[in-house]
Amino acid sequence: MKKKTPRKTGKSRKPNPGRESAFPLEQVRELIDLLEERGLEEFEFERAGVRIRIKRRGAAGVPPPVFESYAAPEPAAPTAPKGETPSEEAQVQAAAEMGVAAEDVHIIKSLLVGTFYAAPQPDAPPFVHLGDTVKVGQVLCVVEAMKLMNEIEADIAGEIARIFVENAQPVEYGEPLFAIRPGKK
Amino acid sequence: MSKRATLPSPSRPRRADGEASVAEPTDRRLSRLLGLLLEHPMVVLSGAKIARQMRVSRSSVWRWVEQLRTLGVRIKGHGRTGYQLESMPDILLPQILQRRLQGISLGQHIHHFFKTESTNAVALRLAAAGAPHGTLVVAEEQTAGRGRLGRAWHSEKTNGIYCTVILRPPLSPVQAHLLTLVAGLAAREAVVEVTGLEVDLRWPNDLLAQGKKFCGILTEMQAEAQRIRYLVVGVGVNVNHSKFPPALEAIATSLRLVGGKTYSRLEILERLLAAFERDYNRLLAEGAAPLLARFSRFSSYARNKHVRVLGAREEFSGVTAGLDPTGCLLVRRDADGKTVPVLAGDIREA
Repeated sequence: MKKKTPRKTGKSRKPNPGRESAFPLEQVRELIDLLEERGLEEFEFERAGVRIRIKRRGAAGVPPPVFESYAAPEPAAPTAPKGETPSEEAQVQAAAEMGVAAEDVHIIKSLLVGTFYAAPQPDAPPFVHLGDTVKVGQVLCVVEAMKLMNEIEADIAGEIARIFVENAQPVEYGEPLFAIRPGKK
Repeated sequence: MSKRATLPSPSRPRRADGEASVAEPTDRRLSRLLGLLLEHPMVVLSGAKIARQMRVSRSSVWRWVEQLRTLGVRIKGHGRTGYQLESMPDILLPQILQRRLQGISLGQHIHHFFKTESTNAVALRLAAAGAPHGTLVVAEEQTAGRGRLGRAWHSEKTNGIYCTVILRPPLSPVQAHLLTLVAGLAAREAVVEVTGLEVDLRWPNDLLAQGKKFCGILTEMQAEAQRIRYLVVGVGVNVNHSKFPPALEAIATSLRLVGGKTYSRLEILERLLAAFERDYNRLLAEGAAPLLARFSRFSSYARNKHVRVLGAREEFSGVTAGLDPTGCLLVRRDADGKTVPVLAGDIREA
């Protein structure tokens, strides 16, 4: 989608503990929360010569929120995403193979740690094939975790340009499942 | 406290957009007729009077009374003498159920069907149309009750509980699977309280009695990257089935077959919803650890059970070794002694 900015967000502005800086860490955290709450993609703010820019990197970049009211933190969520996200790599890679800019490829990612199913039941044909044209809201696959079935729909219309995983394969949170080349308007 | 959910309007089934089955007119009339009889339990209501109140013909009233009888509702009398309920029917009607669900937020909105394809399918449509958290869909009969991976769920008329709850939990999608454990534990508690039978939990949420399954739970989710849009938790309980088709006999049972008597579906459903709500709130407040501990307490499958794991890709046998912090079942593989987490797949006693 958008280009990645090498500049980091407020969080890592300075190695020093951030308290003396014009923006206390606490305030930055609040801004991040606000961004999350409102579902904003990007946020820029300037005050007293300091500019803060906070940008979400889509699903895989931001670890999912944990229970708000946890008394003590515990590892309730399966493997939170870490480091470079597989889906960004996938986007760049798929785009390179297709000979288009990364922005022109849309990646559908897994929202769960689970098992990927290409078809509604074992002996049924898959929901979609490579090269199929899909509509917004069309079911692409199911990911299962402990009898919780998550039907993943296309959130953009276009052509299935790549399928990254095989039927019945385990998938991670944020793992790329499909690349869609958006349809021309 | 409205009796029906606001969406989509039950009074005007729209056929064009495939929502017709969300509000089946015959169902509503049967409900109204039963509602009328319930309001006058001690009185004989003449067919003519019922017909006037419902603005239909007397022969329609007779037809619907016959339909109710096939559903196990015991109604005395006939058209000329009038009709009267012989006993309180064990029908999961909103009018009856809601009275029992006071103080419970699940089930504030109830959609009841005498017959529908699948309560999960209906709930998914209602949720997509904006139905609120806690909306309950119940059916006396499912024509296409479904389980995991397109499997069918045998949904015999009026003998089982076939219901689905719509949830809109403030959880991230990666935590949603914990709710499948909540649902199984709640169903277990309800059944044990009402029947006193010995019930086992098979990971993640099958309920077994005498080694056979009588309750299955299928959860379906719609989500965005960080947020669950909605979840529908479908529960099927075999309560008063007196027999099963030959293909199921070896693996399925009902509470009646195990306990030797019939049980009140109303009572089981009421307790199930109460337990579900309590444990759901506990999960939000306390996190996963207490939930996982409770599962381990009530499931013989949690530890030291020799099982076969039937995954989508591979099959193996091993010995269970508890749950990991995310709720996965840990199994020590016979083949190499390695302990692996199982996240999806069928578990069978080896």
